[in-house]
Amino acid sequence: MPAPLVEPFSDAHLDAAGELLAARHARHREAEPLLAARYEQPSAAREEIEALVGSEGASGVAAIRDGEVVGVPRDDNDWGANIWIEAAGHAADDPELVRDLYAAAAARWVEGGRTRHYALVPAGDDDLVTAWFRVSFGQQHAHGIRELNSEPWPDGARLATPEDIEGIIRIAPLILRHQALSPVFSDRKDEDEEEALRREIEDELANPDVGYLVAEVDGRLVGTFVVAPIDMAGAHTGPARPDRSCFLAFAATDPAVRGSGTGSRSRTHASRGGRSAATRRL
Amino acid sequence: MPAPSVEPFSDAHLDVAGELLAARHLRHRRVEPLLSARYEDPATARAEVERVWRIEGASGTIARREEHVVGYLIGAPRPNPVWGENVWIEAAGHAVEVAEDVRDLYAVAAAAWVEEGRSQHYVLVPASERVLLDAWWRLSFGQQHAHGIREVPDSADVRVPDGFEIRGPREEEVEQLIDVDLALPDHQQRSPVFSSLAVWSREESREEWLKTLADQEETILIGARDGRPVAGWAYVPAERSSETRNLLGPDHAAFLGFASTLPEFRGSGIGVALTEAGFAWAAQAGYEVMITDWRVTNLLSSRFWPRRGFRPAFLRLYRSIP
Repeated sequence: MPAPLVEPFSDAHLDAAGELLAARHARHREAEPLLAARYEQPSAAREEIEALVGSEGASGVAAIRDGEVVGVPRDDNDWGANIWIEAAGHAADDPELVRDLYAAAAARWVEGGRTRHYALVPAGDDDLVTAWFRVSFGQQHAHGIRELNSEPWPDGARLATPEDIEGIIRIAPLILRHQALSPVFSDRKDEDEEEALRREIEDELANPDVGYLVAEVDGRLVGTFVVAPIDMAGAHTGPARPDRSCFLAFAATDPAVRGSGTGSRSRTHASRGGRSAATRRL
Repeated sequence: MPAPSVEPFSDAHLDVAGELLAARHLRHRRVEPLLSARYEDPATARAEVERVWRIEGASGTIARREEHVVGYLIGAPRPNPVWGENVWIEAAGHAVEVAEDVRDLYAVAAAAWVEEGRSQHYVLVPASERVLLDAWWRLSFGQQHAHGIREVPDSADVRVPDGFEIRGPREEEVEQLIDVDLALPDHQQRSPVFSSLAVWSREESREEWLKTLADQEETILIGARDGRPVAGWAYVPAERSSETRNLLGPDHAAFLGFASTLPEFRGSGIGVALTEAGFAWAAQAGYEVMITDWRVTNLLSSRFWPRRGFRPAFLRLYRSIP
């Protein structure tokens, strides 16, 4: 097969890109039907791509009628000199074509000093996932989904109250510290100062839309889970945002009780908390 | 299944590591029987593990479950600065009974490597071990390089495109040979390869060509158009290359160690013709197996060589932290 004709992405490509993304999302929903159905509509898919293309610093390429890759920088020091290819930022008839599209787009990004590249790829699309693997991307992060079932409140888990704040402050930083270790080696350095963390917890406890959960063992707070409406989740956008869903935004467990089942019980509690908020997916 | 306990690798683990590697290689050869059968023998596999373990600066881990050693991992730095502050886990540097355990082994080993400032990690993984590859991929390693293998066909179909010829190199055309030599690294510095390997200079290339022409230890096929060299393929016995004198190298194989075509002649058919001519030479020289390698991120070569019948036998994966 000859190399495709690749050209800079422009508004003229939006209709075709919307159709390609809608087709990819329809394939994705065959494997994961909990995802939002509306992105199977080319018009809804087109809107997502248009929003990306309209973002500051966005650039991309299109292979005529066959594929698109659009990257957008995130203005956040956590990600370095970055480009993000969001969930709506790529689609192609032939997965191999994504490698040509990335080659053309990445030349410009690297030339501009943006050397850290992130792509959100449908997990069930093995050929597409392999194509990204073959331009040297490794797996960094997973976005999981599950149904919410009616389950009893597990022992030791309950909604948090202001009296739990000191215990939460003790546990909350543990996840960031754990992820700084091998083999994660996360370079995120945004651990909150204690006072800032306290204010954040107070705000979330006061927010009726947020389910703030804690788990106790022998009267000691050993775990905390935060469940929020999906529209508060900045990392889950476009085709990666299911309808009528809640978002398990934060989970941390005291290392002393990891492996004891506390986390599982808390997650059951989180599921229940999410369900009570009239959502069906977590 | 509970996570294994992980301990430092020591000489005491060489025997069991040899057995684990021999078992992995046996599985590998069921898929790729052209690989050397020698490493199915635990004693030979042990010697290869020991070779890796004795490299200066090597360190590693073993995984134990219920007193039974179920996996090991050894990494060592390569002194060549082109690899950065590196650790290489060579083909003999890891074997596990359960693929997921390699993540526990790496987690402990990598903590020490990163602490020492060695943040660029390379690992060679059998291409047939999909679950093992997935385990590495879930440690954020991406594909960088492929080591391919194929049979030497009994007969080759050499169709030289009109206007081209295939012949040996000549000393009087060394300046044009340098152009061919530099075309590959120049291409691999571009997107999406972004190779950090330095492009050698014309002077270095000239020196290398003159030495190669004088030594006559390599078999070199030149594709020429109107008398001008535009492509070059170079072959050596696999056992002569330090890169393939191990699990990567089958017994008595020809190693296509270099292949490059000037950009304006890519797609002309001269590369296909040179490859077929190489098969004809290898068959005549008594080789039954040919190996080569390519950058997976090089779109041209990663499509060209599989179409020429080369099957990936090992994949080199790479992770840079951050």
